[in-house]
This record gives sequence, structure tokens and C-alpha cells, in this order.
Amino acid sequence: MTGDLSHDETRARLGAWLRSVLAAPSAELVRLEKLSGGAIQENWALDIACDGNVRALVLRTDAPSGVAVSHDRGKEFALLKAAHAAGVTVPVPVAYCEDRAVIGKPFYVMARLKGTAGGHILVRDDKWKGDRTRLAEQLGAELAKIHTIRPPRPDLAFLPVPTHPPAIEAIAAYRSWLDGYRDPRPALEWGLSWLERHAPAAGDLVLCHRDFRTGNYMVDGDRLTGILDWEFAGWGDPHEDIGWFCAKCWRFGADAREAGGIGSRRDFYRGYERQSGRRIDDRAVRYWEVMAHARWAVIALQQGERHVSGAEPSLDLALTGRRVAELEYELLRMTAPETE
Amino acid sequence: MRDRPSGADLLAIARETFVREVLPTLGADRRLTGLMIANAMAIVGRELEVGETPQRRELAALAAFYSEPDGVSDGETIDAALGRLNRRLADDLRRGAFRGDPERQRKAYDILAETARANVAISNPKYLSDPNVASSGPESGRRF
Repeated sequence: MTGDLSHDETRARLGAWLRSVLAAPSAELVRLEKLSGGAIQENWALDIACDGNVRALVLRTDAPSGVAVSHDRGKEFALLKAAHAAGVTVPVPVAYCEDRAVIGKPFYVMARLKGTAGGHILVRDDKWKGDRTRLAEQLGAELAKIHTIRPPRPDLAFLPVPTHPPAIEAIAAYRSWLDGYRDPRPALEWGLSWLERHAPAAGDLVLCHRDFRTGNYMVDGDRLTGILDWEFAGWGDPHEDIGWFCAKCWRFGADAREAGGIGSRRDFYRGYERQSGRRIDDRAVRYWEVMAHARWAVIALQQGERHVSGAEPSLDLALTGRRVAELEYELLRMTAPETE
Repeated sequence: MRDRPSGADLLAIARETFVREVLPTLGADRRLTGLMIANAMAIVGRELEVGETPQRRELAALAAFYSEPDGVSDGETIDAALGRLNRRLADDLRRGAFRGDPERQRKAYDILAETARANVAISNPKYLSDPNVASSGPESGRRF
């Protein structure tokens, strides 16, 4: 019987696999513990003892049910490798396992980072002594490095290349999802119609992380230790990521610090522009901030539906379903008739 | 007649007791869960308090918009009527039915804005009162 990492036999098989991929015959699995968080993936902390050293790793695999648009673990691993090679600060990728005989589902292993990813801590906790201005700049620079990854890339050939402007593709995808949803959402339709009328033309095509925001990077003391969660990445408009990072729905309540609740927009833009040598089109960013609210509203509906459908009863998912209200409210505020 | 205390009253005292006596005893690993439970109870409390008023108001606005006398067809529940009219509005918005008519576009927007505000008043009323929220945002200085 494969599958449950809490079973001794599964752990033994995982230990053997690790010895082989690490080429360390004496390596021993000394700790395996499920980490909290991760609505879509399961993360396990694992420690490997080898020749008197302990190596801290993370095993990442699928949660019982996930959002349809996220990549499988093999693709996510390829993205992580590409980001690492481009100089992005990420957890160092170790190995991917497709063989279901090991733990019952595909997984990969990467270095375990120190620090916290907690948005509320980084944004609001006075006990956090880090320099938020510098962090915002650093994050801008990291995003610029991600955006140096451009098609064509044989290692990322699984990413579809958009045939229409990325904004138009996004709108079509959300509408198509709404068509299959149980209830009409006229406020979202209003927002999508505005987004369609104001869509920017196709510009540069780069690797977009698509969930680059506070809560998805780790900080240890004053140091950014890694950008996490590559499962939504794809070819798109670089302003999409900048807009997602700055959108009000990702400021964890610190609305005055427009860059992720961490720093000013200027700090973040400066870091990005210095690294990339290119100017950010602020108007395009504002457009993608409107899109961010539409997208988050759709994702929140999907998360809520996982609970409502009975597939995965969860208070967290249920409450996420109720967050759609404030996202639609904000979407309407940003797209009032006088903005035409 | 239902017995007293009412369901809303029971829920309110249950939440108050939970927040006062149980929440502070939770360790760091359970605190977020405790806060989510308190939040869910608060949402239900607000929903019980307003009853069907927001739905009736939404229905009246949509019925007037589509020139239906009372919005509810024979034997139709409020929910069914709201589903039907909101579906019609959603379809109209997608195909740009009001694009040539700014007044109608404005009216549709006002209905959506009022419904959204009523929903947030249930799910997260702080969002409506936070001065940061009212004054920031990508396009600040908007109405409502």
C-alpha cells in the first residue's frame, strides 16, 4: 500500500529513494513532518542525516483536491529549476520523483528555507525588525530576474504560448469558468467587460510567476530567502505580476504601503527597474491591479466551491468563498462608469 | 412560536463565550482556527440580524430595472427570482447590452454596487469603514 507518509513502509521507501538521488548510501531520513498551509499542495519538512550533517529539505506533493489551473509537480519542478538557473532566489531544487511506487503520487524535494512567509507578520508585526523599504526593492529585483526567462524554452515547452493578448486570454478563461459555475456573478461580469474594453495590446512575453505576492516569499530576519509557489507560472505580460504584487487585495490591511503591504510602490518599482534596466508602465500596472481583483474573486469562488460541493469540507475554504464579496466590491469601485 | 432565547441570541452568547473564554487559551497553532470560527459565527450573526431584507431590496431593484411588476413570478422563491434576474443581468453585461445607453449602464452599476456593499456588510463590515480602504486603491477618489 503506497501513499501515506505517516506509514513506516512509505517512509522507508522514501528514505531509499533519497539515498539514491543524493548518491549518499549512508543518508538517513530522521524527520518527516507535515507543514501547515498549502490549500493546493501538501508540504512536508524532512531532515536527512548524512555523515554527521543534517540536511533540511521540503517534500512537496498534491493535496487531496487542487485548483484546476495549477501545474503538476513535475512542471512545477521544471519551473523552479529554470528560476534557479536565472538567478532568482528560490529554494534550491533537489530532485523530482514521478514514480508512484515511492509515496503513491509524484513529488519533488527542494531545500528548506529559513524564516517566515507569514504576510501578517511581515506587514503588521512590530516585532519584525527587517527593513521593509529594502525588502520591497529586493522583491522588485527578484521579479525582474524572473521576467528574464522568455520563450522559446525547450525545458518549459509545456507552458502554452498565448495566441491572443494575455489580458484577453485571461478574461476568456474566467468567463468560461463562470459559464460552468452554479450562480450568475453580474458584478464580476461588469468587471470583466471593463477589462475587455481597456485591455492593453500584446507586449513583451515573459515568464510570469502569477502568484508573486506577500505570503509567497520567505524572509529570515532581514534577508529574503526565497520566492515560493511556482504552480501558476506561465508566459504573460510582465505588468501582470507587478499588478498582482501591488493590488490592494494583497496588502494584508496595510493599504498605505502599496507594494504588497511592505513598501511603497516607488521602492518596488525602483528595484525592478534597476535590475531590468527597463521602465515600468504604471498605467499597465493599474490595469492589471483591476484584473487581480477579478482573478482573485474567481479563485475565491473556486476555493469556496471546494467546500460547498462537499468535496472538501473546510472552514478556511468556506470563509474564502465569502471573501468574494469584498473583491467584487473593490472591482466595482475600480471600474465605475466615470472611469470610461 | 419558537422558544426563547432565539437562535440569533444563542449564537451571539456562544460566540462571546468562545472569544472570551476559549480563544485566549488556544496555542499559536490553533489560534488562527479559533479566529476563523469566531469570524464565521459573526458572519452568521449579521446574516440572521438582517434576514431577507437585502435580498428583497436587490430583487426590487432588479425587477424595476427589467420592468417586472414585483420580480417574483408565480410560485417562484426569492432566491429563484434573484437567480433568474441576475443571470439575465450577467448575460446582458457580457454582451454589452447597455453600452450605447450610459443611463442604463449607470443604473446597472448602481444596483451592482448596492448589492456588493450589502454583501460586504455581512461578510466583512470593517472593509466598508476602514478609512484606508475608502481612500486608497488603484483608482482612488471614486464614488462609494
